[in-house]
Amino acid sequence: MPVLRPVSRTREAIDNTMDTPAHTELRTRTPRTIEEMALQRLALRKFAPNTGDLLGAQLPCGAWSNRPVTAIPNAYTTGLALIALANSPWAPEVRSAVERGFSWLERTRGREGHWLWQWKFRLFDRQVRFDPSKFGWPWVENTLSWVAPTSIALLAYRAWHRPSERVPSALAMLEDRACSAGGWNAGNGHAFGVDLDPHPDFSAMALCALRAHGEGGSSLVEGTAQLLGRRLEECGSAYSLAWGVLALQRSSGRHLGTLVESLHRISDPNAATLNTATLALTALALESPAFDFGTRA
Amino acid sequence: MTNRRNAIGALALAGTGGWAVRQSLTRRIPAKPRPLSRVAALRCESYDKAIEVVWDGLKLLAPAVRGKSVLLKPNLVEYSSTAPINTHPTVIAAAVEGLYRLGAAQVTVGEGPGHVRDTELLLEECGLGAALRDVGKATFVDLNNDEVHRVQTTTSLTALSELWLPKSLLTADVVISMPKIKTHHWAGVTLSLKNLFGVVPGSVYGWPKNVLHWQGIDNSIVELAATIPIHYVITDGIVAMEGNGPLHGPARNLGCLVFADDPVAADALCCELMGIARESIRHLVLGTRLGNPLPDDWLMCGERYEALRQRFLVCPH
Repeated sequence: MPVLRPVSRTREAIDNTMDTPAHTELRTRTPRTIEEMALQRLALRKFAPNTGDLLGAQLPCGAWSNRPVTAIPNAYTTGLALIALANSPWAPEVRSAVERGFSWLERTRGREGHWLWQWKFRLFDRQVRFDPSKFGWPWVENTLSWVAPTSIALLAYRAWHRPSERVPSALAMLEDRACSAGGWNAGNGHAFGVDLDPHPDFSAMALCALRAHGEGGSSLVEGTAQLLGRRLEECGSAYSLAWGVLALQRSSGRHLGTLVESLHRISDPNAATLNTATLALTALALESPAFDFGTRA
Repeated sequence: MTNRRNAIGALALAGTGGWAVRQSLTRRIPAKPRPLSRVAALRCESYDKAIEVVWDGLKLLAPAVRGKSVLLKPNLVEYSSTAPINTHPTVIAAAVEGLYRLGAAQVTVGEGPGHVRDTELLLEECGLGAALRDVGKATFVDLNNDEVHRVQTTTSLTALSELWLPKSLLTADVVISMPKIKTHHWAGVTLSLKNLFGVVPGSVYGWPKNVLHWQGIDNSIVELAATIPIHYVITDGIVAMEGNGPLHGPARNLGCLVFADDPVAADALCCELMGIARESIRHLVLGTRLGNPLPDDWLMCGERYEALRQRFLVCPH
């Protein structure tokens, strides 16, 4: 059962940071996906948005599909929905939805979590280097674990302070799939004899997840934080910058202030042109301090 | 002796079984009588000349685009400052301009990158964003995040009886696949057919589109190609990739652009240009009935392709 924690920040502190153009524009948007809906509700949580549509979109299996029309369960989206519910007004129906959501996450694993596929990857399919005994969550069922759904699911467990036997393996999987120079891409650090490059958003998601679970002091986390800061110095994309700010808020590096300035410079005049997920991430990143996915209001 | 006989018998049985399975898979695609396929390989030694050569190729191909909406599907995977991963922006922009000159009502460029979620960042880093702004008449749609509709698959080559596909793809009157000529460590080559992986939306299936890998890459390629019509192909072979493609192989100056009204013919011709046997590419064998893979069934509109042929390194793994 989840251990409920009190709100970690005062309402006043949040109020003062919810007047950016991103917040204003976000209030006019109608989300098209559950990712957009969950992020929008997080960014506008001060206004205590109705969670009815989020609860209503839950599939009978307990998961959420990113595109409700498809009814394809999605671990990334399920994690985001659970984080949004952790920051929503409490209601009896939320408890049931959260239980069913975590129940689905508990029984859903990357395919490499099955002994048969572990043998396949150990014996025959070895071009992509990874340890199949370390697994997390796939985007959709019957596929491998990937960095984004694993990171977001880990953050959902943290937001609800929910213990699980799945968490240690998922944390180990993230460490195993890191790029050799630090950071993460979608989920392969080394393939066909080549070290692969990290991507800002996946790196940021994994950093958030590892820090939320107390792994913030590792050299991998510190190295990735430095790498991410440098990578985003010249970045013109609000989406990657927002993820960078969200990930680096507890970093000791010199980059955070620069990234926040860049995000303001890009998003303030262009809020109307950003997609809803980017707008919501921007709004969360521009709170002071930036939103922490691993906390529960 | 008995053991050897048994072993030979087992091998023969396995071989026959494999051949039978391949034949049965191939026959899941109905054979249709086809007219000759129009194909052209035009020499183009640098991207500085691409605008001119793309226009020459479009005139030879004479695509039926007047008054129609056109979706250009380039190959954008991720950005590298050193490796020629993506269809070059100059070629895409030239195609947009050319199609408008031919009377297209609307030209949209659409892609759903398989490895990155930040399509905006990719567009800026690879130069396509700036190239499309210069052209001024083309919109870009991120197929990973487009509205989706259910489509029944047509071949049963995979266990996917349906796919959710982007509205921009399904509503376009004309779809033009614009791949980069590259070798591929799993599929052998990645050309106009493999390029269809990019239309499968990440917002439904994730990044990468791992569902397709688990259904078998070759079978998925052919399933997609049988389900989604590719009307024309414009292939960027000016600077191609050999070896450990599609991301980490070295550049290879092939110096040509390929045009076709048949993706199977286009890909078979590209294999000829790369010096790779078409028969060694499983998805081209499986997808034989989707087009005309044999030169006898081609109407060659450009120069003789034999003069452009090279011998690409394939992935050593």
